[in-house]
Amino acid sequence: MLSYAVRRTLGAVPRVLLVSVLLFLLLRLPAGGPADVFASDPTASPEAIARIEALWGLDRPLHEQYLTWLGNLARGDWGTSFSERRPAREVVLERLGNTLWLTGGALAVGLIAGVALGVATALSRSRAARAALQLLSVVGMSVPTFWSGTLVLLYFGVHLNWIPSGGMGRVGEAFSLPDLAHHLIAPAIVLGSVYVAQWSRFVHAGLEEALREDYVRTARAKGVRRLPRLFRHAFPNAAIPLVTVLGLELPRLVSGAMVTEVVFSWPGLGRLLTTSLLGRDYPVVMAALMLLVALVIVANLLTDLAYGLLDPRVRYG
Amino acid sequence: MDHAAHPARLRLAALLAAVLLALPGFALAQSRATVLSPQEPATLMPHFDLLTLTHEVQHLIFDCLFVVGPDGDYLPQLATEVPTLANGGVSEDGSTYTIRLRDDVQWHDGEPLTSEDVRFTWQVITDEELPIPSRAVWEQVESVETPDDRTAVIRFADTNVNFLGRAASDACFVLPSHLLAGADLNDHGFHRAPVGTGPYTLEQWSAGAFARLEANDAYFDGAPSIDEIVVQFTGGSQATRTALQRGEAELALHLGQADLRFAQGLAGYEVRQGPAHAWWQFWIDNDDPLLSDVRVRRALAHGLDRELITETVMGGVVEPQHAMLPESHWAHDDDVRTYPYDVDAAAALLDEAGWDTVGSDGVRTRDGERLTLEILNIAGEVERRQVIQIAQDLWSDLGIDASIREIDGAGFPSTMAAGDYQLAYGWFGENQEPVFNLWLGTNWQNFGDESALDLLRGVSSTVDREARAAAIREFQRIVAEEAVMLPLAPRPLLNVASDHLDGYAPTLSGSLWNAYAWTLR
Repeated sequence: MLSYAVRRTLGAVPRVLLVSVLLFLLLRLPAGGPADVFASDPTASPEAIARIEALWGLDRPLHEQYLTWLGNLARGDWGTSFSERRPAREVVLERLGNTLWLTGGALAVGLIAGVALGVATALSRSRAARAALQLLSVVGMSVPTFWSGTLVLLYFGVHLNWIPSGGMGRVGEAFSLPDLAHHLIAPAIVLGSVYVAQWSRFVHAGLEEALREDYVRTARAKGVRRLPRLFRHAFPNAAIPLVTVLGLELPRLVSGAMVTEVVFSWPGLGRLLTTSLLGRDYPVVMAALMLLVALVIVANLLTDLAYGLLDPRVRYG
Repeated sequence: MDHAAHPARLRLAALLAAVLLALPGFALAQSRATVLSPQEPATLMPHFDLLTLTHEVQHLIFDCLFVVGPDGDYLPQLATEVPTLANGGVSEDGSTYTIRLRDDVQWHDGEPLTSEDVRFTWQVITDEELPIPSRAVWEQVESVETPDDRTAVIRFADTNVNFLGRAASDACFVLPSHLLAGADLNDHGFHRAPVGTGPYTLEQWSAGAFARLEANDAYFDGAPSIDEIVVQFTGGSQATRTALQRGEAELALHLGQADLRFAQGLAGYEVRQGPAHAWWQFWIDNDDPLLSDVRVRRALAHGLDRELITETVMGGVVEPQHAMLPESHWAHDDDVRTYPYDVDAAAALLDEAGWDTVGSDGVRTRDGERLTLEILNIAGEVERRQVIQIAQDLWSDLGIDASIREIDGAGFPSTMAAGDYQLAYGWFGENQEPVFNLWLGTNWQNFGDESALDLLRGVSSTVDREARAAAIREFQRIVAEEAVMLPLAPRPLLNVASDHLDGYAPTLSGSLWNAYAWTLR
């Protein structure tokens, strides 16, 4: 399995390089550059803007700029943020942890509620329950998080005063898990609710199919009780499509967190990326995007490895 | 018998207080003011960032030589007095400024402020190796002499009347030479952990979330009465609204026009306009083949119902603006040519310019060419879009087919500089002592009347303020006469202050310049 993982990772290098070239070029396609954010000020002269561009190497040919960036990256130097004047790595990693808290919370909400709902409706013979699940799926996937987040904030934050108005913790107090949980619960539910509907449908469909399989019927004939039959025999097979979806959705979950971060003032990667893109802070944007690329690759790899754990028939050649 | 003054009781009360204070976890409640800011400073090292909201936070940590007070006059801050001709601080020819520094100012690390700090600040601002975006006025300084620790003599090669304006503006913060001299400031730790002389010290900066500042008890103007100020970076309008509805903030900075009605209905808060010499306008590319015709420009001006826009989109908090500089500016001219909303006058001007045939689609034509215009805009702000859509409708009534092109903010200046636009909507601001970069620097409107521009070129070397005002007013009359651009309305800074915040007095120096004098009721 290890050699498979190493080969998969090395195989991803050309793709990462290609993506990095594309991102580097795409960032520079729109008019204007990092120094132009100053140009609207009545006291910033065109000469000053040109001088800053030269200082930041933005007057050099594009391929030279890319190779310099790549060479520095290979040496572990992600560049210096144009606006914050500190290492881009520091800027990005400081926010990544916050985003992982949010996506982790949303993932937990999505998985726990999605699996529970999927199992419950698969076992239920009620047509109303199935119809309700279908309705929930449509609503869950259709409602944008900026709208649901705003409603949650208004009702639970302003009207009932149950949740904080935003952020990750109380100002001026030391980090504590209960405080983090208090701030995390609303954005995690809002972000996770999108996936509850989707994932419960996968679990529901997979379980329904697995419960009709011969091996489940055999287990039942052998006297295996309902719950062990469900969770030991049927669920692992039903979970394989869910794992595939999870692997594909994980990067989307991180990017989806960006909107939720804005609504709940969550100081994560999404808000950083938004301000860095608007300010054309190329080193920070490249660092954040390349980190997301790495996340996609790792998520895909973990998905493939998870198949082997769920299904012993899967072998890694 | 006076019970309250009984010595035994007083001793007992004092003893009880001492015991309570000594108990773990017991402390007198700290007063805290929370300020909501829609944006976060990228750095707190002065002079590296031009964002107004960055300057607001810097006002808590640093001090300026001078600030602009509530009446629009300069007030000394680190200096003992504002240099003038009368007190001998300004030389007769206006080329030398002698500044006496207070002798009771300390940096947060306890070192005294000296004139060397002033010289060092000038050296930083003009350092070619540093990405300082604005060196205006400071780059014209020939030397900063420091005859003693309390005196800084600033010499220009020629008369320069803009110095006080710059030294009291966003380029005013003085840096500590004893901490920074000789260091590479490009990526110095000072960007995130600044040391100033200001009323507050930065205790915590949680990226993307907040900055927490504690009162500097050694502040030269006395320890601030509020123990702690928290600046929360909300990142957007919704988070600001939620915090205000929950009564969690004492001050919210720079609300958008769209938030105005919401803010006006908030109990316990008051909308306060921060003064700013900024205004909304339509830029016109005067080199554009269609818009180089003054009759077309005047027709656009007559076809723009400024009252309608200020009353609706702008919530009635501003009046229409006709001159280049807003009414708040001392050099504003009331006597410029105005263009009241008049469809008939606009139509007559277009007819006169040859656009006298109206096609079946309602659009005017000239020699078969349709009268089409494109309005450039920065995407993302609802109110901007609304203003442009109203203008689009109004000009459509004249038979002009106006379309909108939206780009992002960073691309706006280079697009304008390249002349890749016809009309563009946006705002612009000038300093208390205007430097006229809009005309003498960028000149995005491609205005080429050299004799008019000479009026502005002479301003910075004219010591007499009335003479300066006369030249600027004459220039404004030319701009209005030729409809070189279309001013729309002033752009005030809309802040919301809590009823229990006393001492809040926004000026051109910002909203937090006097936070040391704030109190909470």
